[in-house]
Amino acid sequence: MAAVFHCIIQIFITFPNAKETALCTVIPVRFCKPNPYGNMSTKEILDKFEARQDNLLMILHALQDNHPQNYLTEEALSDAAKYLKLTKSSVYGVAKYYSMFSLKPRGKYIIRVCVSPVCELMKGKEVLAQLEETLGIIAGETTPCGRFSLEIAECLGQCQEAPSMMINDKVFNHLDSKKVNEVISKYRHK
Amino acid sequence: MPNLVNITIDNKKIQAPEGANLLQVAKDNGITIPHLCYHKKLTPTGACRLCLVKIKDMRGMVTSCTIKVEEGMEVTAFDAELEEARKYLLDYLLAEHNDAYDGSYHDEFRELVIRYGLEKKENRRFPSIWKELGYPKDESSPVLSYDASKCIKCFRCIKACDEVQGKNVLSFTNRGITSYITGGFEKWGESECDGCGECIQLCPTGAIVEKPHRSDINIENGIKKVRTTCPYCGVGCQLELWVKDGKIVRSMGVEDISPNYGRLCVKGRFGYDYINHSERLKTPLIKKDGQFVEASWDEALDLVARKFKETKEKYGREALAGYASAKTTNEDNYLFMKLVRMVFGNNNVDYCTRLCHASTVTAMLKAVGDGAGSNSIEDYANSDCMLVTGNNMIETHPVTATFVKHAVQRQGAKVIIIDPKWTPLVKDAYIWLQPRLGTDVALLNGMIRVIISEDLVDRDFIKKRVDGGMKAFEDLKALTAKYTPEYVEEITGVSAKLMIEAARVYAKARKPLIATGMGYSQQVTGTHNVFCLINMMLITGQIGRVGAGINPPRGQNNVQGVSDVGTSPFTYPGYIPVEDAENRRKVAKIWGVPFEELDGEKGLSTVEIMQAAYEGKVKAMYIMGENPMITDPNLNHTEEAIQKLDFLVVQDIFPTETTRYADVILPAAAFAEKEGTFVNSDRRVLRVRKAVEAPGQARQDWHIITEIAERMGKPLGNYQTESDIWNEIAQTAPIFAGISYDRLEHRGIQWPCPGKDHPGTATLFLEKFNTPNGLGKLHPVDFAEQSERADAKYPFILNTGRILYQYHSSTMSRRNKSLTDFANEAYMLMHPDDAAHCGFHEGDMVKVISRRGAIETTVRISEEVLQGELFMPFHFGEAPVNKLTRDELDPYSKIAPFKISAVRMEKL
Repeated sequence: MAAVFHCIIQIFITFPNAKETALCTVIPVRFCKPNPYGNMSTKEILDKFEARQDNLLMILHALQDNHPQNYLTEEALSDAAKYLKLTKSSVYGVAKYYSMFSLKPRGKYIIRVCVSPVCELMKGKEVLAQLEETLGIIAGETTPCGRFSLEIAECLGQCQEAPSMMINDKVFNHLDSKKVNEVISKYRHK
Repeated sequence: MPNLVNITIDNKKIQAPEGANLLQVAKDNGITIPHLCYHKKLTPTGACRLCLVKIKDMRGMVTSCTIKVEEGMEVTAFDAELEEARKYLLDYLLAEHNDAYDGSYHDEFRELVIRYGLEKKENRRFPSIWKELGYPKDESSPVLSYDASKCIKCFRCIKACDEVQGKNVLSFTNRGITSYITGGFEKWGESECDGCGECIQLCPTGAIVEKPHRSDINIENGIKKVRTTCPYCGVGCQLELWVKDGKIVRSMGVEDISPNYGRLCVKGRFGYDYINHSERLKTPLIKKDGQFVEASWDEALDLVARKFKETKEKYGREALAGYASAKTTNEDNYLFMKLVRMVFGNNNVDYCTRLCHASTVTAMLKAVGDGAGSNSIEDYANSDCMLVTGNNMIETHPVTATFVKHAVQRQGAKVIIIDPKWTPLVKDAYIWLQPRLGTDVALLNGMIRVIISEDLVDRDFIKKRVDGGMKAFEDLKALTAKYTPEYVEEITGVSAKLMIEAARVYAKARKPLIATGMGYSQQVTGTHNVFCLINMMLITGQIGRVGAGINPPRGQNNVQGVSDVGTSPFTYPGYIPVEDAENRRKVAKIWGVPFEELDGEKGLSTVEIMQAAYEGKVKAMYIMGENPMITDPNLNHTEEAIQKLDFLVVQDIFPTETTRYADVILPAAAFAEKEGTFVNSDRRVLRVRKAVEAPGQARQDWHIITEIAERMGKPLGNYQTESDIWNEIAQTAPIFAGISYDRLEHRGIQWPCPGKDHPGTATLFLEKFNTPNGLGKLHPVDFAEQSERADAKYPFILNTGRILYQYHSSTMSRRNKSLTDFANEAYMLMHPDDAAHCGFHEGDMVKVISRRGAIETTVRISEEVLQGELFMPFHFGEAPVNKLTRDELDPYSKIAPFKISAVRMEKL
């Protein structure tokens, strides 16, 4: 029922005092930045942020990036909730809403393949199929060795150079079979 | 008052306040536009889209729940196109919805499905897809189940939790069609949910339902609904009890009525199973050779009457005493008091108020002339500053706390908490002052000094309404002069900066309310603490108008009423002193006894009665519905005192720690088996109504009392019903003169209500105080060190208190699985640094020892308490913390210092 409507309302409910900020920081500009939080304790990460509710998204990103398996643990969510004086479900709802957050362990490298119309026109689906075959997993899964997770993404904003995918923070454009193979073999040995 | 505007809905002319909600206006005028997500207690959501209407000069169809009425609005609520749209929307919702229905709840969605002819699958346009969506069920809460397949994502539960209860425990998870509600991390039972069940009450589809008794309920078949008043704390919530086959199977909040407007807490909603518990006392029991044996009522009552009579003849009338009960009705207590004064012939009658708010009441009586709360509970919602002192209201008065949270969350009111221990309200507080235990007088004198030195006093108020005017003020000023912020910080440990800010906020507020609790009253300096609060209130003029004043929330359902009807060693009904001969003469006439027979000297108070028993002065006692073997201080001493009694009668609904010591146990009816009245914390007289029959031979308390009096040769009067008793109360207590049962049928009335046409009094002291000269009185008091302090042998100071899920001696609350599933264990809170220092770990069993006794319990490590201080709930009979507390009394109010005992701990 009225999905988009729900989503907007949900943000309002989660951030009763920070409506505007919450809406503005939906997609933070962090794609090209390296993870600055590696190997910190949750407390050290939280201390880097002011305890304002509109910092929730940034905090969740930091906590997720900090985890070697690229996900948010219940413990991390609880700590974030406590720090921001939010209830557990408010934080959980946000983490579950945005596809960039995961509550399950993921691989060291997260491959996000764009399946939006422009990429699809440029044979993006073939890229996905090739990755599934090469890695032996389907979208949403992680390789048994824990190196790769494969996810599908809506538009990555690279339409002029479609088809595209991202591996963690790095964007790869003009993909074809050869380039996919090259990139993956590089990451296999990274 | 808003302007009235004229609108039409389907050509019907309607007048409504400008800006009112269109859907609600239509509903109030008999036009029910279909809706699911709208509820009048909540802000409009506009999610279900069923309340679509057409409004002239507006484009298309609009949701009436989000429209405010304006002059000249022409609304079409029903036409073929709108009805078709609604049917389409319902049909669409149905596709994602599991429409199985077990008849145990009110299903608003199903009603609409039937109304629009969509009950049969072949009439539906869209295929059912809910099974493929993999919606989960969450059964982890002790009291409720959530089934996402029945949820239509209408937001009502989320808003019920957030806007109504101020808790915001629920959210959505996932997106779009796969979204559903989550408590915590999809484990309701591990979330912050405290089980109040507001979400259940407002859920329109049965997605959130209660666990207890579901299989017993079919709402269309054999359910009797009885409105009554909650038996737990003193908020006086109005309940609707659902009765099936003589058993209570559900409790709902009554909407639209003060004081709770449909809201309940976990105890009110789920704490009724004790009524039907197998351990209820069902027959009179007489102790023979150390064993209780069943007896007939005649046998038991004759024995009781004979023993009381013999005791009186042998040792004199002073050898008899009674404990009445804040759990029973005004009518029961009035007759109990009448029995003691008229038949026992003394004033040795008291009850648990002496253990809770006696000091508050004493201070208020001396300073402002009334011991009851000066304002209404709902005034909290409109306050801009609430000073909450020693009052864990979210746990002890959860529904009062919802009004406080509304003020904070809706209009930015500032809550100032003074409490040595963290309480959940701290989350909503502007300032939390955390003084060391027992230093409150210094802290408040410091705040008063700030107010005086910054000239935040209300001179006009002092001159007009304070006894002694500016001269009395100068005395207070002189006394408080030495309480500089630095000096106060040294005594209390409270930051001078925070203390100064708190004083300023309180003094400058427009509508400040003081909510003072057990933390302030249960000290040897309890009366002094409240004097200080009143001093601060009087010099700032923060009383005597609507929304400003002081309010002690009462701990038990009827602790207010029992005092009001004169069940006190010091006062007759309506707070008229025992010594007032003219009043005694009036009462003697009403009772039909010679004036000389009514003792004109004060009787013994609760703890004094036990001390007199210990000293052999009181020989026989009648205890109705109290459990002093848990709730009295210094239990070892109480036990010795009780054992010294020649004869003890205990009248109760369950065997308790105290019935063990009785010679006769009399089985009584519980609240749901009674007619009568309670008085809540804001002086509201509320009806109690019988929902079920008492078990076995259990009798009404007042029947038992009248029988004993009769058998002692002095009948109390000829009462056919509880209403007859009430009418006599109204004759003896001027504050109740205008109240009768017929006036209480729909809603409660706040005393004083001096006449039949008087509406009751929402705010006290608007014109004058209730003191003899009508003026408020300042009582400057100095800080004194507590007589019991931590020392090398007993290095910790122990504080005691209550938790949300249990209630007092837990006779009632621990006999509800719903409540014990939440919390059922005693514990001792200890600061992490102390724990590290002593080498204690979470969960360690320890022995806690004071100068008076020792108990064993479990350690919980928490920053909720200060270093050097401990906290323990007093509900649990297996770790009765009152073995450690003192019975050294506040000299004015005779209250015992439950909050401060020096103890040491040993690892077991």
